[in-house]
Amino acid sequence: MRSLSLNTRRKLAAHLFVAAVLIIWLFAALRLPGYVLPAPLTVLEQIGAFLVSAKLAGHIAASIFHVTAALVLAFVVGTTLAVAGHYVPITRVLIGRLAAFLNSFSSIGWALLAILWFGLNDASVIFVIGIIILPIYMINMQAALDQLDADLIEMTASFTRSWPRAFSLVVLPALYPFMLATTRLAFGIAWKVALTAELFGGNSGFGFLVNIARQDIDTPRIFAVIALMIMIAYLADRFLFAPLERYLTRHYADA
Amino acid sequence: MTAAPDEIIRFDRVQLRFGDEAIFDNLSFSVRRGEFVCILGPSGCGKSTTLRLIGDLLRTDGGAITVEGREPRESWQHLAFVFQSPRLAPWRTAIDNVMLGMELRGTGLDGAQMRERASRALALVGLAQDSGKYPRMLSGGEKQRVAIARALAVEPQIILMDEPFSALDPSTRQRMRDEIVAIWQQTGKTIVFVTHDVDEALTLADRILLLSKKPTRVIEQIILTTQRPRAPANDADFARRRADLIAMFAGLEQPTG
Repeated sequence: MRSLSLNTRRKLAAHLFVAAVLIIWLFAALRLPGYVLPAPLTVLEQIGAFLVSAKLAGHIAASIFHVTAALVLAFVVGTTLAVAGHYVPITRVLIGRLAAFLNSFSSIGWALLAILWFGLNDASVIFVIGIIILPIYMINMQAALDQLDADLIEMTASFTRSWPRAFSLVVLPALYPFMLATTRLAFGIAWKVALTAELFGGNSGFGFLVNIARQDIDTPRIFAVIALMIMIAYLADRFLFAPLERYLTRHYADA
Repeated sequence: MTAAPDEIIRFDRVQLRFGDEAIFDNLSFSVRRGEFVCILGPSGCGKSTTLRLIGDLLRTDGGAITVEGREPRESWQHLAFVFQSPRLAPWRTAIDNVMLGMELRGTGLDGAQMRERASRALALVGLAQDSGKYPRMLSGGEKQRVAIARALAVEPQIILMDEPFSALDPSTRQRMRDEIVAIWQQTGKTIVFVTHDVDEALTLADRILLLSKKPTRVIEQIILTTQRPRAPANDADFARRRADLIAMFAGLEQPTG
């Protein structure tokens, strides 16, 4: 047998592992009742049904909407607060404390409050996801601002005394790679929080579907939702965030 | 002390402290319009600090600095820096980096005019062919040329250069020295050039200000009238001054205590 390259062997090991999990799942499902562990094929059928059903596809779209809206809001608010903390020294401690406070409270707690404040709707869900990822933006963007190349900033100061020009022409572009890296991290967390937020406070999305399926003891549907969520998160990371991060790092950070 | 009519920079008994340490104690000197002055001194004597004070990137603790007859904070737009490292924006091409200086300063030119001026500056430093390249595609010497073009393009009266060639290899460094003299002769700018290299100062300057260790003062002014390009090898006067300077410099570089 010809020896395989290390990379091929690594890939082969990963594929074999997935195959082994599927086989174990298959045999386990034969022995266990369907409401505990549905068969892989049943789950696959359920995924197919999701994708062709307009109503169910609507729930996928709803979850994507919730996560995207929350990311945009947290990005804008978090980055603005980080910039304020960086350039207006008296606000720095205050903003640091706010981030620490937000970072220490759980998504379920926020979800329960959101229901009381906003009711069972999109706003509740977006609020919960947004408030969970907000401190990630605040903390990371502040760290990014602190780490900006001091030489580049001094060069900028030597050419201008205009803060808006310095900020828009140098600081902001230098932050792009950090923004993307933070968004990539925040997306993963937001996607997980979305399930909790929709389960408690939503009337659409994956969490809502899981809640209904739970009430119907429809385990294949819960499995299908989980599988779809993992797939979407993987696809977004692999085909959206990873290439964008590579591009931004190469273009904005390599001197 | 009254100002000479062609005086463009003047340090009058300048004081500067960092914490408990006195950096400058009554540092005084002046630079004439169009002059090429080298500030030479041992490491850590505050050579770069001198430039930062001229450029209003740092404030004094006493004494007076005048640039173009005004305080540095009112005259920063008359000068441009070239730092030890090129400090280019990695996301901008060579020509866009040259334009960045103009955009930051706000020259009042439109995009096409800025581009035109940026190309001329790049051509002056010999990079006309490379205007579309990103910094990562340029060599160390080419990057530093872009930084020089960026400084020239804002059309400053004074260019402050902080050991701009020290990170380059010896042959590139020699070529860049010749080029900066040529650019200086073509443009008539005032250049204040910081270096710790005796030969560099002797090759470039009209006048060398030799600084002491901290607390820093000017211990020697050396006026050079030899024609450029200067050939150290077959110039007796040059060789003598070089030997003197190196001897003085060796004394300064010796560790204290």
